[in-house]
Amino acid sequence: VSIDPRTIVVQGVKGGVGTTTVSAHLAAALSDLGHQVYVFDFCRQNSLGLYFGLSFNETKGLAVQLSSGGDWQDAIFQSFSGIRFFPFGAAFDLDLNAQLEQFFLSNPMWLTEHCQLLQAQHSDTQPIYCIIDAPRYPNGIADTAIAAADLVLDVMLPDAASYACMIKRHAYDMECGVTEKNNTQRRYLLNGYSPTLELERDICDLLQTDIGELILPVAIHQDEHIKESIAQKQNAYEGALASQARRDFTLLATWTLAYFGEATDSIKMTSLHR
Amino acid sequence: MEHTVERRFQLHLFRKLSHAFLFILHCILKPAVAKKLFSRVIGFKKGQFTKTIAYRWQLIWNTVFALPFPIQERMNSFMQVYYPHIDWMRWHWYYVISIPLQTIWLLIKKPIDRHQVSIHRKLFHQGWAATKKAPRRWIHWSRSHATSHAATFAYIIRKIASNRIWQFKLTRYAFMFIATLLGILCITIPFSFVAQALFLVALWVIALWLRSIPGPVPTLVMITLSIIVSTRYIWWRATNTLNYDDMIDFGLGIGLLMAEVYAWLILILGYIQTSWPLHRAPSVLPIDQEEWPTVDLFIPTYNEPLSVVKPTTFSAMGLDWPKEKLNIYILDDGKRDEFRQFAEEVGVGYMVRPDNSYAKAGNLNHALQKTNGEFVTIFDCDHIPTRSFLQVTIGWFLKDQKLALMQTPHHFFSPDPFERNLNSFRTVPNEGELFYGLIQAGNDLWNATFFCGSCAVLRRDPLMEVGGIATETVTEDAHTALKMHRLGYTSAYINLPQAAGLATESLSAHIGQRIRWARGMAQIFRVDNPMFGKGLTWAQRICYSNAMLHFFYGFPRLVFMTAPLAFLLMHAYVIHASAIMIALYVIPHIVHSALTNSRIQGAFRHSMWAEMYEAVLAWYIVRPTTVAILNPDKGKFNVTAKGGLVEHEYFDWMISRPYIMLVLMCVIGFFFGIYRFFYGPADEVSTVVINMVWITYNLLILGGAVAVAAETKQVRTAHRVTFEIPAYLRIPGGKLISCMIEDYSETGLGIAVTNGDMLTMHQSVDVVLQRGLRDFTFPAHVVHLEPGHVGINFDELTNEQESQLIQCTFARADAWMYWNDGRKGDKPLASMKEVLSIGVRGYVRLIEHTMPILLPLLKSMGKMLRACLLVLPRTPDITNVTITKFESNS
Repeated sequence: VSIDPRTIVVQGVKGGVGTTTVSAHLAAALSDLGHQVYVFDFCRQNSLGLYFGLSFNETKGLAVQLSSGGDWQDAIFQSFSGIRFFPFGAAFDLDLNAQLEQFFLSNPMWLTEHCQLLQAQHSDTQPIYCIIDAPRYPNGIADTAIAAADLVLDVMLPDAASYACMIKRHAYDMECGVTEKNNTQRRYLLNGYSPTLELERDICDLLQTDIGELILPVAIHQDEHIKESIAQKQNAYEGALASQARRDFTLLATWTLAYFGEATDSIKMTSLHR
Repeated sequence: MEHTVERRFQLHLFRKLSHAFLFILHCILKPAVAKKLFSRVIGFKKGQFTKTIAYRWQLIWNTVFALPFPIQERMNSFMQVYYPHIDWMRWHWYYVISIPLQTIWLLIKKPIDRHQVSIHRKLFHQGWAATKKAPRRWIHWSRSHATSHAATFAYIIRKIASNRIWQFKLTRYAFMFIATLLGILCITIPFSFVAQALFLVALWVIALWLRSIPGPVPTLVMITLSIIVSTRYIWWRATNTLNYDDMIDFGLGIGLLMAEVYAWLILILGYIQTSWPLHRAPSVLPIDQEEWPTVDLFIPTYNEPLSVVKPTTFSAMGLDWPKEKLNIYILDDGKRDEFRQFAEEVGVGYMVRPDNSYAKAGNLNHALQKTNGEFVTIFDCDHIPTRSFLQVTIGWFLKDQKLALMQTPHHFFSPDPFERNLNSFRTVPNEGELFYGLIQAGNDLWNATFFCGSCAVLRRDPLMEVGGIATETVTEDAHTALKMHRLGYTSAYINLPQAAGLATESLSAHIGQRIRWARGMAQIFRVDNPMFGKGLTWAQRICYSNAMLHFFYGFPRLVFMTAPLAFLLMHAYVIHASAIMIALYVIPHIVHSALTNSRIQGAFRHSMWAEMYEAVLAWYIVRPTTVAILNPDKGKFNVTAKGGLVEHEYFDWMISRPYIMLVLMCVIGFFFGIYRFFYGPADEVSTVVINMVWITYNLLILGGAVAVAAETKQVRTAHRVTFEIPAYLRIPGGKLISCMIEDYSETGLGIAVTNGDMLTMHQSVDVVLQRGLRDFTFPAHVVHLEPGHVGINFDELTNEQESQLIQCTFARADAWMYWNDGRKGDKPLASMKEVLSIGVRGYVRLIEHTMPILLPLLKSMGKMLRACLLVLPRTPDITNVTITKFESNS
């Protein structure tokens, strides 16, 4: 393989901050900008598929295939707009989470190798983007994912609870050193931001003074469009074309591309503003 | 679209049948009903009987003359060749004339067939065509090779300039001596008619070639050529064209010559001033903010409303500069409580003084006494700075300790009266752009940039050394800069719009402002003449003198306006020479200066527009400049009114009185000219023609001045600035709609949305503008709704919100960067056509406002003129007619 895939892990500083939303929409945004994207759902809630129109009753998924020794390629689904994703899968008689953890413990390089395999299937020149919706700590699956990551996005809400968790997380990172490969530091992404609320504005300011550029210059606004889209089993790129959330995610994707040193087509950027 | 024969026949048949049906319908229906029914098809208005008849006639024609298809088709193509200007499917009344006329013409004139011409004619034609093409080919060649020419040119120049011989003073002086000698020779040697013609054609060809090569050196050569030609003209005028025998001729001739000498002098001084504009880039500040100096920012105001001062204050507060090192003061000569209260609320300084002596200068001097920052920056109360202003300007002060002044351009985001009344806003450079785009940048090379009263930074020490802002004249700014230059301090100019303001809103206010400038500059010229006194370099003397002398154009301009009358009315030969010689000298003088100036100034002033600007102001600045020269203490400072409305369209009779007087004189002269042409002596005809051309030109330029005086409405108090900024709207219910702001003002926004379905009229929305992670929310409501676009007006904004709004819009660092993008460059001939057509429009407007009764007459005259052109017969060209073509009639 002449080019490496780019692996982005999306994790939450605590539960319920919207990692799945961010993973799904970041994937949709990158795909919209013309990149090949694979999304992995590593959370046992198995909710990623909902953003891509997957049937609620579908039980197939990566965890199921891997723990039962099936073909991993059977776990690839494709959304209506062409995004390929691996649902977690559902099997109520087994603890899939523990089994997948076990699997990764015995095959620590599985993720890296298979991302490269996917890359090889596509192109020698254009890197693909593998986005992993990782469960929050402490979790062995998350450790495996982060070990393979080129970029880790820690999603947080602009509230005090998230802030407290974030500070702890950051202090831990500072103490133990960074865990990802290539020594990249984790970045923090604000989700569900309502700048009209004074508290949220203050937390935003506080974050900027505390961790500086580790907080992304893009925040995802609290936009009802997202909820409405999911209610229609769509993501904002299919269901809410004029929404600010969609533009926020496009900006996030643009930031991501810039992070990887890729210039975004300026024409596409202007079309984004329209 | 090509159809098969059958298909064409079907179409043909169908068309015939439908015409027959329509005709029958048209005949059996009641006229009123028919009218109603057919009005869409024919497009007639009430009572247009002829059109109804015409339509009926057309239907008959189409039905009755339903010849067999092939014949009809051949007929069609025959008609198209021999009656090319007749549209047989649509009837016009003037066809009654044009069809018989064309028929007669066809009987007389043989159709053109270039295949069947004699061999001689063919050769002649070919030769002529080649000759005609040659210049175009040559121009094409020189253009396509322009870059390689430029490289060669630059190479040669570099070779010559880097030669060692220039290091010796002797060679330099020797070459200068030879060049001067040659120049004198070129200028003074008398030529015969043919020699003069050849000489000028040669220079002209060189100038045309140089025009296509970019770079400053070809500009310098073009300037040299222009100076030679113009000086030669002036020399010839002074030595050969004055009639010493007739006292009246002589007196008037001297008058005209003086005016021409003045124009020549300004031309040459201008060339020197703008020969090599220094496009200075900002200098970077030290990284350590401790090293940044302290700045006092003054906003002087007298009678402007608070709404004008507020945005300026807010954006001053938002300047990117350490807060503890920036002190903002509102200097209120109006002494209003409202202002004091506002300043306290937002936390800026507020100063009043016991008296109002020396207007703005006195106001600033009072503030200078009370403050002590290292630097002083001044913003007229309607000039809104961008946030980057200080960071862009201060850098050079730290680099150059002698630097006393840094000026930036005055940019206006509302149209001035010229732009508004001539509808040229943002498409044609306005009056001020030449000065701020080119002249100040040209001055910068010579260290002669002067202060313009606003949007500038001054170092306090030199300013205090010259006694603060000068108070002797009404243009205190230029005079202060002159005083600092005399003490050996330097000045600089950065041509980046870092602040923007309102232009004058009416022509009378505009003229008032220019009168003040003219008076002030004339005052300085009298009391502190830059040509004399110590401390200035020769280039500074030239630049300052040109800036001041420029304002004396009033009298010469009036002389040029009235000069042809001397001959036409009084039969005085003011130029004592044959018409052909005059043409041979004048035309090259005009052409060369136009070509050179178009190259130097094109981006900042289109050709010929100066004529109109000066024609408007000429009369008004004659008196103040003359008075100021004779008695410099007279005249007071008048405040320029801004931010007002022109509620009704009206014609400013007071202002336009002098132009109308001049127009009347020129018209009388014109009629005299016609009389002289027919009844005067035969040897005078060419002189009459030259004077008639001149006076027609003057009439058209004056028409432009008249057009400016017809004030069009200005209904917005807050001017909309076109600029694209991404934003989003929050609608009740928590949905955010992403959108793009298209234009903004202090009171509302124009917004582009992809999906406006979620919005309703008068609905409340929050507009959110972003700056990094910071979002600024502004409550507003929808006032305008159309597919793809929404107009919103802000609700009552708090001071904080208003400040944020200014930060996000007017104070953006890039707010004015792209102002001129998409503007077309100067094309001398096209520009001339535009200016002259504005002149014609001026007379139409004049008639609109004086005798609206004549308007229909004027309209029908225009129609007649067009009809006359349509009626004229045309010689058919059958060169390429070989096959019958079927043309779709619909």
